[in-house]
Amino acid sequence: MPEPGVIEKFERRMIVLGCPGRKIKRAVHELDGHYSDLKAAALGQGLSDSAADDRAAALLGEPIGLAEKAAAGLRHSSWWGRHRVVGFCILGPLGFGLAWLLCVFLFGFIFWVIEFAAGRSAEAWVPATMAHLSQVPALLPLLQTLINASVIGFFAAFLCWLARRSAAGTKWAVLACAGCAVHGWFFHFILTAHLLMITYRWQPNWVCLLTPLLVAGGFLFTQGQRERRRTGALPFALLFLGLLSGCAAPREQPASRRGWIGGDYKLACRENFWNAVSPSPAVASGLPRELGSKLKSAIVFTGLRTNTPASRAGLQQKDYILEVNHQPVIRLRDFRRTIDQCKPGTTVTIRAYRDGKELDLPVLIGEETFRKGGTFSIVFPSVVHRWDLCLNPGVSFVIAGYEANPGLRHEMRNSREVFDEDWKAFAGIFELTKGKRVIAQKLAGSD
Amino acid sequence: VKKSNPSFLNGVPELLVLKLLSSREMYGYEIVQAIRFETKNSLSFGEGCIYPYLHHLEKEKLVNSRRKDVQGRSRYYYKITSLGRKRLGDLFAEWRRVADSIQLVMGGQYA
Repeated sequence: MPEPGVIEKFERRMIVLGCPGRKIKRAVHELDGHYSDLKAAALGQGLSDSAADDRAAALLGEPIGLAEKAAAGLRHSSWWGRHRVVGFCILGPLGFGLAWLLCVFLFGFIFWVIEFAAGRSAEAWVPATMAHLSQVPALLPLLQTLINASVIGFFAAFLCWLARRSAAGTKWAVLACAGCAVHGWFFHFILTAHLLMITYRWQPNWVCLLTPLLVAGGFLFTQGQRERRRTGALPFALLFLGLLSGCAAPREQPASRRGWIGGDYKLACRENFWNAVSPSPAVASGLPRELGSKLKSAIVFTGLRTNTPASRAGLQQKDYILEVNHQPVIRLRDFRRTIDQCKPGTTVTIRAYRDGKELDLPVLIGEETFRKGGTFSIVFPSVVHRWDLCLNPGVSFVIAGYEANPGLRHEMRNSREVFDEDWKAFAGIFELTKGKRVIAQKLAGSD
Repeated sequence: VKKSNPSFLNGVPELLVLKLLSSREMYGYEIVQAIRFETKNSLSFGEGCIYPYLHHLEKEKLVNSRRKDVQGRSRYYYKITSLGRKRLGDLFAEWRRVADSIQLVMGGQYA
């Protein structure tokens, strides 16, 4: 029997240093065999059993030092072990982006398999299925929480596994989890009846923030179990926080309100050189001849739903708006700002042009509810921006640019949220957007 | 390597281990004893330190290992690979060059 303590000390030190179990087992096996051989040789020289044990222990070397040498060897043989700061503090948490990309591919693969097996296009059945699922109370929020937690939890656990595999040590696993938690603050996997989106927002996602802490707590607890020591309160506190996060509803930005008359509209202006060279999506082609002779530009309704303040006031699609409250409107942004600033419930007078006649129509301003927000996204290279070399006020060189909303508005259709973009800056596959999520539009006086 | 470890002995443990393993597969204890025996105790490894070293060589694919049961004992036997033989050739040539150079200085006019 080897001297009690030498091999045990070696094994315990390797565990404390965070070495992987398989490597510890092998190192212990080899060292144990070596010890037995040394002892057998000492016994062969006529030494007593205890003297042979002492001799073997002395020849084998100090166990703590041997364990540290073995752990250093393991660390050195792995990239993650050699580059712990870069790996666990920077690359690891950032690589989370890679994990969600894998998830997207996984979704794509599942859709592909279903398409292949059932012969149905995903575009046809996914929205229908999502709409069907959204009928079940709390199912989609629960699924969203589960997906958020499992993706980031899996990634944090993967980093913990890497920390153990490379014998980097417990503290690096915990640091990597903390990095993931900070990253998770901005990360949002959004799943609603009409939307499946992965994006970064400047608002906390409690699930993604606290799930890595749960993983860190679990890791510290299992490490304590391996070391056969009391783990203290920290792992349990982290576990509790993580579990709590499962119940925490994502905190929304407070909602704001502004005036709303409805309709999609564009600026109609005379044909000019710049419009021909670099057509803007905010500009419709041409003004009627009668208007063109006295006006430079007007606003034209390109779409108008029936249940909107503008429609109720008698405005129609293809009407031209010339004045609001007796002030001429020649720019889309000014028109939009005027409507935004109107108090819901008040009335504005809109002078419209239709079939050669000018009409003064009182419009009862409705209410639009929105939340401010921004996103940072990684877009696929297939999303190509158009040329727009005019400062109107954005500018775009296809692969990089800045696009500001020239005043375009979108109506909500079928109660779907719309993102009212204020501006967007992009370079390559990275895109930063700031705007407002319109969550409700309602007529004045209705609840 | 114990007793003396000047910088020109860098690579010597690798050379010795690869040389020993080039003739036959051996386990850790055997390697340590063979070095001690062959060098007549003038060079010897710290006994427990051989294993991290062997694991490093294995990671570098210079040797490979397999678990074998011999006389009721289970041991990991190490065997040189073709990459290890190439490395051994390089190390041996380098060692020859250093040793010959030292010999020239020792036997030269300034000795």
